[in-house]
Order: sequence, then structure tokens, then C-alpha cells
Amino acid sequence: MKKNFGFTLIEIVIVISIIAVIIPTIFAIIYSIMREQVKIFTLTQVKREGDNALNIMTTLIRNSAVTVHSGPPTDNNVVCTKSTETWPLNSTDPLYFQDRYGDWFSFIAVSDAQNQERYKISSDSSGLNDVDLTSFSNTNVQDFKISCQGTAENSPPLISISYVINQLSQTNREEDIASLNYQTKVKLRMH
Amino acid sequence: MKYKKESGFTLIEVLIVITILIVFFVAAMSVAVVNLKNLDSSRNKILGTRYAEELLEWLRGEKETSWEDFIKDKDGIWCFNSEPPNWNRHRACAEQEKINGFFTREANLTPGSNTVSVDIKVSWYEGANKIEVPLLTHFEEIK
Repeated sequence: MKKNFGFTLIEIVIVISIIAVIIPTIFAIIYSIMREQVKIFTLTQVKREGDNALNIMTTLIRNSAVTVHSGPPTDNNVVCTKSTETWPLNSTDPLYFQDRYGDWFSFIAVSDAQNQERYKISSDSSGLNDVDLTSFSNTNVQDFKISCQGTAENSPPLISISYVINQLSQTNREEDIASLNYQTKVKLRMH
Repeated sequence: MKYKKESGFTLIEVLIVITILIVFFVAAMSVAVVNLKNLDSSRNKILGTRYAEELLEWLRGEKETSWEDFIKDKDGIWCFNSEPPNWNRHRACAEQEKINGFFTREANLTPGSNTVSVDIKVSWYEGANKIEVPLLTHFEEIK
């Protein structure tokens, strides 16, 4: 009697079907780990950008700004000195802050030169070149608003800042887009 | 009678190999699954922290706007489940009052003579575990 070596058809079928179950599971898990990691990475980036911009703006306004102006500062365009006076009337107009040395700075949302769809918060000032407060190329700023409101006579104006930072994404899935709201109010300490 | 020696694996050898493979595979899979869970919970933590900070910034804005309004009738627990926050719910959050249907955001305000202590808590559930981000601060009246 001749002994047959090798696998039978049924053995091969069983082995292949086990492999066919295991391999897709492994890939599915690896894929979801990678997707989750990308999501976290973009979320931390978005949060870092937002925190950083808010920090710089509030610190500068609180500690350096002395007066608020509607344009590059002169003696005639000081705004928000009286209570109930608010500026700007059109929410996209910039505010200018003058510090005690007579220099000024302002914050605006501008379109990126490299990517017109991307908006970034930029700081303009009399002394320095423009500085970007949100510098990562895949973050986008929306609804950037900065306004001031006069409080009582001889007390400092109140500055409101609000914006939304989200990621410039390739995905259309709503739940995958990292988006964070920022809003705060600060008073000028040097007023 | 003479038997021909058969080459091949014994049952024991095959069992040992399979066991090693299974142990290895199960270990790798559980590491992957734990990893996935951790990623999810760190994402929640980032968002939860952001919501707590957002409320803190908003409360600071309220305080800067008017100290009198900020301390008036504010003692107690508030639910801030909307974005941006508002003073509409002077009570603990109800079951369905969550940000994105997930994060519960409450703050306990305790006004003193010229300070207000603010205890912000953002909490959420991961499975059966309740995770909490506490943020405690004091606001002081600046004259």
C-alpha cells in the first residue's frame, strides 16, 4: 500500500478560511488605530494652535495695550472710551491697540498666501513684520471677531475675542473634523 | 512485520506550535485593542479639557463685563451644556443635557465677599467608568 503524503483538499480549505478570517481582522484593527492616531494628532494640533493664539492675544492686550483705536493710532480715532460704546460696527474690521511706547499692534484673520482657502490669525504691528499666530498649514481659522466695549468712565475698555479653529481636511466625514471654539474677554490693565 | 518510519509531526508538536501561535496572537490583539481604547480616551480628555477651559474663559469674560452681575444670585451648581455657555440652567445637568451628547459640564460657584471660587467639572463615561476633568479657580474683584 502506497502512503500518500501531502494535504487533502479539506485541510487546505480549512487553513485558507482561517487565514481569510484572521488577516482582515488584523488589517481592520491596524487601520482603525492609525485613523484614531491621525485624529488625535490633528486635534492636538488644532488645540495647540488655538491655545497659543488665545494666549498671545490676551497677554498682549491685557499687559501692553493702553488705548484702543479704529485705525492706525492717532489722537482722533480712540474708541470704546465711554460706556455702551462698542467698536467695530462691522464685525470684520480690525482693532488697533497702542502701547505705552506709542507703538501699535493689531490682530486680523488673513488668507494664507500659499493656500487661499486657509485663513490664519496674523499679528500686525508698527515695530515688527507680520507674525502668524496660527502657523500649521493644516489649521484654518473661522469667524474671527475682535471687538471692544466701553465700560464706565475712566475704567478700561473690555475686549472680546472669539474664533473657531478647525482642520483643513481631506475627509468629508463631519465627525472626523476637529473643530474647537475659542472665546474670551479681557480688560486692559495698562489703561 | 516491518513498519516503514513515517516522517512528519507528532500530535504533541503540532499542539505546541498552535498554542504558541495562539498565545502570541491573543497577546498582540489585546495590546492593539487596549491601544485603541487609550487613543479614544486621550481624545476625550483633550476635548474635555478644552470644554473646561472654554467655560473658564467664558466665566472670566462674565466677570470682566460686570462684577455685580457676576456675583448676583450665582451661588450653587450650574449646568453649562451649550456652546457658548449661558446662565440658563441653575442646577445640575440632567441626563440628556450633554455637550455633543457626551460631555457633562457643570460648575459650582461660591461667591465670597470679593472673590468667587469656581469649581468646574467636565465628566463623561468610558464604558462604565466615569472620567472627570476638574478645574478649580478663584476670581477676584479688580477695582
